Amino acid sequence: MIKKGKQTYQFEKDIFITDTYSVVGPKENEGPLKNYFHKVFSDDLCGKNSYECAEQHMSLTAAQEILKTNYINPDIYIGGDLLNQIITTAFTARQLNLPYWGVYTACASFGEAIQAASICIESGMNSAMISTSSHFSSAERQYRTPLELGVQRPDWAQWTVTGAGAALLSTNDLDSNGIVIKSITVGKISDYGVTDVDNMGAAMAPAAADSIITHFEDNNVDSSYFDYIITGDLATYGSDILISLLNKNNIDIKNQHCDCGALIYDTKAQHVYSGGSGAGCFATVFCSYFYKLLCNRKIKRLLCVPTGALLSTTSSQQGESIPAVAHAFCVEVK
Amino acid sequence: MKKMSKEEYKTLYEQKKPKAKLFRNCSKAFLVGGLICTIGQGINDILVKIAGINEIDASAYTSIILVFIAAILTGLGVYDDIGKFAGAGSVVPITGFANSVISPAMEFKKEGLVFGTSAKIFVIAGPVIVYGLMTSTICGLIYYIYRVVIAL
Repeated sequence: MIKKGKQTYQFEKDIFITDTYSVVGPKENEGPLKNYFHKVFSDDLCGKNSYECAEQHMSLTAAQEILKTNYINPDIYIGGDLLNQIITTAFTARQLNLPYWGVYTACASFGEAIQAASICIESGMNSAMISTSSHFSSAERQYRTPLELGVQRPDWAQWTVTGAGAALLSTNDLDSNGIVIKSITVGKISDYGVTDVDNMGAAMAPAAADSIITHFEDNNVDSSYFDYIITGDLATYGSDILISLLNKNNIDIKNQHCDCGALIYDTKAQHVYSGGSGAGCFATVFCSYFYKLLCNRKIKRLLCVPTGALLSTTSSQQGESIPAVAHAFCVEVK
Repeated sequence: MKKMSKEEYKTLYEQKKPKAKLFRNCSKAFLVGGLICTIGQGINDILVKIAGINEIDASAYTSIILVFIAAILTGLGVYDDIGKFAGAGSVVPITGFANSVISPAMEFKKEGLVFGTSAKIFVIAGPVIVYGLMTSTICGLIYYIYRVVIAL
């Protein structure tokens, strides 16, 4: 592993993303990416007693499908989710009988898990499985209000994605896809004093901007190097802020940028306010749509920047502002 | 990233914020809120004019009936849709209060009847009850003192 610049690490080994699996709920399946997901549950309770159990079921399904199709026993399972004490991931690991690390950076957890898994493989492990998940209804009852409460939320709010995404990283390119993780940029916390819990786009945009600029500087590249620069869940409103922030730094990513929160739903027709969010947002979009584009060689270089707003109900009720982080990783097709 | 002050950033993101559709939202709230109140008045009139109940009792019965209807609509999963459409129009009337009690009671049923439903039932309506009781007590005291002073 070679350190480049301030926060970026380039890998000497080939770390392949050999397989992915995505599971979503019914609303995500009505969105523009409906043909890309691996499995869809038509009932967001998945036949379980609670939304927490349903989220675990989705997370477990994604992980088990990866293990089943690849006949592999990974050296480590790394994952995260939005619920207190990351119970979804821990309870998934309970069923898997694999060495387990839990990570939490809210909606950037997928990025953190990829980074941790890549470092593990670079340091000698053979394979690692990662997964992150979120569920609209379990997140809503933890962070916001009861589902049946009749209140309006502002247009810049976001809708938590119901779904889970899992990926398998390995030193062997099992399916000969040739998709490798080239480098990672570990994000720093950005906090510009946003206190509105509905305004996660504004809270997270500076973190995304910071990680993108740092990645460019550290690797000495610019936006034209990439086919796509994908952010996690800034949604339409946050993406707009990100583009302006980067413009102020003389960087233009307008032609390459797209945001998973804006992609997963039809923001005009599906009543999702500004777009999707949640630890499952980036995971499901990356593991379905973007992974397929990479496999088909439609795109070759991808900078992924999942973003996370690190607030809790306690911190926001005590008037704290929302710290945010974005963990970037660069994926290329060999 | 170039240094930027919190104030500078705030101006940037406030500029980008989608504009609130004030007129449209106010009209929806006015219509739905007005409709709920009209239904309430209708119930009240029926109770007084047809059932022959005196006016004070009739207004209590009206509240009970409205709360009952809102509770049923919450249970059927309809009230939150009305709320999303009407905003304050369906929050402010007494039906909104019923919705704010029933919805957490339903939501936290999974955590059991003691630690879930009954412990969380006033999680949203609690402040309304606390400050409602406090202000009505204060108003009552002022009214009492005023009457004593008048009597002197």
